[in-house]
Amino acid sequence: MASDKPSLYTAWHSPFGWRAWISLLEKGVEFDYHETDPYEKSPEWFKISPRGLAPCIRHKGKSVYESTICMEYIDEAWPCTPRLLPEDPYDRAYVRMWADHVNKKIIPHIFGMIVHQTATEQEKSKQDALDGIAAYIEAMRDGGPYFLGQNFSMADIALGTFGSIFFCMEHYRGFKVPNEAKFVKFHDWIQTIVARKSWQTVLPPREQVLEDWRPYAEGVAQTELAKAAKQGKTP
Amino acid sequence: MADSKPQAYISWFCPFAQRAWLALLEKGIDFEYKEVNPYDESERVKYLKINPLGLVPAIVHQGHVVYESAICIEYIDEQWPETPVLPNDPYRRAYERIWSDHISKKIVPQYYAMLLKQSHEDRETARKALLEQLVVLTDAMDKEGPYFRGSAFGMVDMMLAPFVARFPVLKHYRGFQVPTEDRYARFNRWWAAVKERKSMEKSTPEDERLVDVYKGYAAGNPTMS
Repeated sequence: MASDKPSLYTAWHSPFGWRAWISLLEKGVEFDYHETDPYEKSPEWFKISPRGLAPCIRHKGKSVYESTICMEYIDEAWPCTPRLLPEDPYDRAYVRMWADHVNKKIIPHIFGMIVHQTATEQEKSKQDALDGIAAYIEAMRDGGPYFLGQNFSMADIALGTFGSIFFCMEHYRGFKVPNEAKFVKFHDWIQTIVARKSWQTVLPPREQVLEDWRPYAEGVAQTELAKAAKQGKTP
Repeated sequence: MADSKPQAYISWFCPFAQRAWLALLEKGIDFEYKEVNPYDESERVKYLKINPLGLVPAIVHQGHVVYESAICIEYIDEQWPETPVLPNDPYRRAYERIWSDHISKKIVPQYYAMLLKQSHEDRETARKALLEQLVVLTDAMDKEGPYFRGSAFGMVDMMLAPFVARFPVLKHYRGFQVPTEDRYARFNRWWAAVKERKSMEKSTPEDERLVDVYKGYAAGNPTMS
């Protein structure tokens, strides 16, 4: 039935959106892609996504939103391989804890370093982001190349979407994940991640990504995202 | 199936810890209750060895630590599958997670804002937002109820109940009450059923003790003595 085919409502430039997009691609699910501007607060948009958030998946007449909730939904609605969460309850909790860590202890600082306009605030965000990344790396299991070791999971997608555009943070703020011992695993990991077909499909050209982040870096973006990021929160 | 007894690290006053505690009680799991006071420096240092984040709740089981209240609930539900707190269907599970997220992002911060903010104006803003977001949540509830998804007490109920159980603190310090008018009828019906549950009676401290333990917060100081 047509309604069994999901629709993804997302913005081309959104790393949160890429999380849902990549998840669908990884699963080989057929879906309709709808380019969306979530800042266009039209009544039609609220009918699709009741809180106005993107990404949003419409499937069988229902809406699922919040990028992390989308990833879990995709894994459960299409339980084929690759599983985005493993079988064992503790391993599942582990993936969730570290996806949550990415959302609370890394992403806000990625936005923070771009959105803050003073050097002091930017440097603090950069250090906080590195601390969060260091903790994530330390939590990675042995056997590589993924967060859980041999198996790809939602924990890789959670950070790997933002990780694939760190060149943008370097461009505007000189942010670099160092090459020293503590961070070596990060570089191996992100190289493997971005080489996946799904990442290659969603990642826009470098120039477009840089242009998209420019208003935030220059302090002229008026979006909710910019406001939230200034307060240290991200939607 | 679990082959050893889990330990639940809980602070008796903490609403986040109560969320996990409710899940354990509702599922009838045999667990070891471990009281933690994360505001006491020496206890905190010892506890950091168990949970490096130092927060409650934490579930320690088979040599592993699980933290973050929502993640604890899901772990408990998956490790001990009898009497599920989440439904089976993927969309209904996503719906529980969406509304749990709403509670954490839109309701809980207003509860703390009402206590911690020192200006009357800020507290009023928080009060209005708290009531508004409660209605947004109850509009998403099953019409019959009494619980969030109907006749089964589940995750969304557990994510909200501990904070509503602490509304007497807001009443004492801020004169806050959820009105009885129609707009709040679904909320009041939900709460009337929730507060009668054995798990709630067992895990909710008396109003007087809560009012006392939150006096620091009410003075704008987020600590407990």
